[in-house]
Amino acid sequence: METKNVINIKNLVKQFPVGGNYFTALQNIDLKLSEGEFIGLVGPSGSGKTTLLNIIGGLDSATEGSVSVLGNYMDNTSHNERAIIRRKHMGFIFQSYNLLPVYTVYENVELPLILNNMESTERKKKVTQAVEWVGLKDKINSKPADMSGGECQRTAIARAIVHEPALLLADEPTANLDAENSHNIMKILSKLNSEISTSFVFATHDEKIMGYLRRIIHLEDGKIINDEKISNPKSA
Amino acid sequence: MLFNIAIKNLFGAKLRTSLNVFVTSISFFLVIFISGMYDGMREYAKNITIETEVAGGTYWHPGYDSMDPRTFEDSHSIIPNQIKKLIDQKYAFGVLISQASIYPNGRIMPVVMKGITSNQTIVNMPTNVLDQHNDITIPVLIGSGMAKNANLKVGDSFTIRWLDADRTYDADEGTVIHIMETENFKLDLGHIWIPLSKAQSMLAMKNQATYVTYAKDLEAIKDIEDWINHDVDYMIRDMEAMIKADEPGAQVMYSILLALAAMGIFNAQILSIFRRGKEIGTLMALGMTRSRVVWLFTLEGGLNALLAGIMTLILFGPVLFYFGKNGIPLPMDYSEMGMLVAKRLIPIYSFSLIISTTILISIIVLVVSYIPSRKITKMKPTDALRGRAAV
Repeated sequence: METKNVINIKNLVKQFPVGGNYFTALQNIDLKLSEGEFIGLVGPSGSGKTTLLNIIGGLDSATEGSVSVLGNYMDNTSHNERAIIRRKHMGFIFQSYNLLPVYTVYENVELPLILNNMESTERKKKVTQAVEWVGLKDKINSKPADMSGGECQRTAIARAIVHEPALLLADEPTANLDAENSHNIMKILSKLNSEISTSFVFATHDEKIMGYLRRIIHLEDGKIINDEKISNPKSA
Repeated sequence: MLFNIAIKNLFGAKLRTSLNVFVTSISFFLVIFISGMYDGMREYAKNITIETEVAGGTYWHPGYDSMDPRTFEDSHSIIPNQIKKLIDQKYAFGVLISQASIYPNGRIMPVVMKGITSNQTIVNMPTNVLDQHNDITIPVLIGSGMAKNANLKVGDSFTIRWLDADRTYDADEGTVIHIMETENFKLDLGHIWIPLSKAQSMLAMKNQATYVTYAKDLEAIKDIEDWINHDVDYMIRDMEAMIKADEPGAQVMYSILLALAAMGIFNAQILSIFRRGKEIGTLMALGMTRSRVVWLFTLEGGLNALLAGIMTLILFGPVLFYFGKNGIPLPMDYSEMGMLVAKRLIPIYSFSLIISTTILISIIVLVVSYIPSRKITKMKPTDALRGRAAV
């Protein structure tokens, strides 16, 4: 059976202006990601993994090259079109969770569905299901300030997957968590990946989670230095 | 959808919302209160003149000019019949004016002696006290300012000297029977008030008067011989002109107040929105378009203004009402400086003041919500997510 390319990046270059010069964060990146993949962009700080993730997510744009995500050429799309692609087809998980502090778990998870204009009964069903997936049913009315880091990140995962996106982008999702919570989070994500057809891309340099990845792309100084398939990853 | 999110954001962030709403509410209050005080001060002179002096208007002897004391001597005649009828029906009262000198405590003081219908109830003056002292040669009513200047108190007697209709100087003893507290210095400083009948007999001007003041809302009569009708609008025309001339000043003051309020609101809103840079970045990452983010924050600003209006009504409404009813006592008496400034300043909150302030402050809140959120959404979402939003 033929698998679709979710991401297709060709000859990507990203430069940032620094003073009067330019700093090259990414150079000559070629990358393809198929549906349902579970990959990690791995490398030390400053290697360009977050920049690459942001470009894939349409939060930033490439200086040169072409970036196609879910069949959309991101360099040819407007801000609004990119926002709509993110809203409908992507989920984000951030290192510092980025939950809205005044919202409860339920309200945070519900937000992407509200943005997609989903009906309230359908929303309720989906939110309950997502919160159950991440094991936070008993915390559904809690606010981020009343929860641990692990619980906040699980809420962020529920928010990222509640609308069943085609692509989930996670930037250092375990960097603020202890070992036990990190493994729990990765188990949840790994299980979700096997249950739904969502493709996962992680930017990480956390050794603890490497074992769960099925493909690791090593980045250094803005270049891909190795693209490694893992034959026997840990699973949920 | 945006409305629901805005409501959730507002009521979810209790402390932030309370502070923003409170700052806006304080601005509402201060602008309305201080402008109301200023309007009250300007309107006061007009109101107090009508209340204590002018009532519905006056019929003047043709030779009388209130601004020219040289006319006083010859400005008197028998009151025309139709006007006299009004006095008899207690719809009007007469005043007979003459220049005189008084000699309190061995000093000489030139005064304007005014005979007034003592049982009048048309203007706010305690003239009825003049009727209660038949045993006194000339009962005299004076204001507290005059009493202070002449060092007189109730019961004090002094010589009054005047020129009668036959151009003969006469003198007799007057006794202070009451000292009135009036905020209209024109009734007070340099004035002594005596019963009209007494003045007519002293001046040998039986049934004569200089002018007749009539009650409010009374239709003007036509058959007034050569006397001249000056309605209330004519009598307060100078004050109206003064108020009109002061209009630019009032507008400048209102603008300064609004600018100060705007700065307070701007500070609170800017701080609040820029602190939410990361939240804006998150919303954009979740797929909210830039324009929707801007509208969301502008809508929150609008709701903020609405809540501030309600808070002003609940929290400051009673304060505004209290001062509007009881006024604010001023620390000094400006009447001695010849200024019609109230001893107790009563603010006037006109409908237009309240509506214009509400609209203008709401616009300010909307603008200071719109501009920073628009600025943040123009940033790259990655910068907003890192909380790099800056003013």
